[in-house]
Amino acid sequence: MRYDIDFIAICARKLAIYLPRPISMTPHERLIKVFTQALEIPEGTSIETLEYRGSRGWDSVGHMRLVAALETEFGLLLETEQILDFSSFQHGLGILKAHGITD
Amino acid sequence: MASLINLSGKVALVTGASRGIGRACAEILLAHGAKVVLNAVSDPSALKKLAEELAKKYGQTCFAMPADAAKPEAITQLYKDILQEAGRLDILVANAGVMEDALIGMITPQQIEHTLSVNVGGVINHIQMATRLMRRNGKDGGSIVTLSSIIGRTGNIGQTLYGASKAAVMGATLSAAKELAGDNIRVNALAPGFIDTDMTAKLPKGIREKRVASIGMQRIGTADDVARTVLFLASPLSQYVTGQIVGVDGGMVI
Repeated sequence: MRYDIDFIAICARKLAIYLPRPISMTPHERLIKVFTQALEIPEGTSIETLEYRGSRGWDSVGHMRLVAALETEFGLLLETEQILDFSSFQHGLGILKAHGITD
Repeated sequence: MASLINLSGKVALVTGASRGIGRACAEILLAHGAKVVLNAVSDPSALKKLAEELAKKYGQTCFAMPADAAKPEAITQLYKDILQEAGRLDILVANAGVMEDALIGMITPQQIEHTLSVNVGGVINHIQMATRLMRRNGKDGGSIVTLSSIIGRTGNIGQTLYGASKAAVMGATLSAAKELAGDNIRVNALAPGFIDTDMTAKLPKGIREKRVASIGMQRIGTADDVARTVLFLASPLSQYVTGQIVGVDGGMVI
């Protein structure tokens, strides 16, 4: 049996709506991902209570890695004051809010 | 073997690019395939015209982005513009600088403030901001070339302030090289000798002749002599070179 290639494409598009869609992450969830990956935080750690210099990995070198990861993830370039003030996960959310990125 | 100085796909920022050494650096980087952002503080329309002229000459993208190296907020905005317009940064040539000669006892507080804010503060702010963009390049990192001077190494009569600022550039370069090596961002400085630019053209004829006589190669250096060394440091030819002060002085002795 032969099928026209356009017919197959149309069928594929029509069926695609019934497939599970990728769920987009909220900024809050993306920030958790940024912290987890940039600071190499072990699974199960409470990210939302982390503080600068208060947790393993979040030293001055880790901080610049974290800033770079946050800037890349959200397409931002932080002000120097924001980098200096960024001392907790909650501050991170505040920075996103200041750039108009909210859940 | 593929050419090691093919910079296509790379984006370079050259400060003080409207003339002299900065312009020569911009031209040599464009000629080797890089997209170049021209930065200078003077006359935005002239800078735009130059960018258009160079883009046409080399068939490459060339941006004009004026900003004052003495103003940190202007530098921050410049990098935001680079990110938006060019999308990345691979090479920084921190060339912008001022030279205000004055004998000891005649150096004014305003001269100190101006020279240090442009020659030292400007370079440090550029290194900081460039690093933020280069870290996004992952293992490709980047190359930062700062412009010091032979005067920062040897000193000279009437150049206490200028010499101090250029010695500071060397110190900043050496420290930044150590801090950024792990990110594969190389930081090197050039220490040009007596180079034929608008800045040195202002010297009285007698002093100019005396300076040339002190150069082993018996000729004044050109902006292109400096630009060629910048090309080496910006390209993969120098991929394992960082934290170096390279003299470009024809064997000059002061």
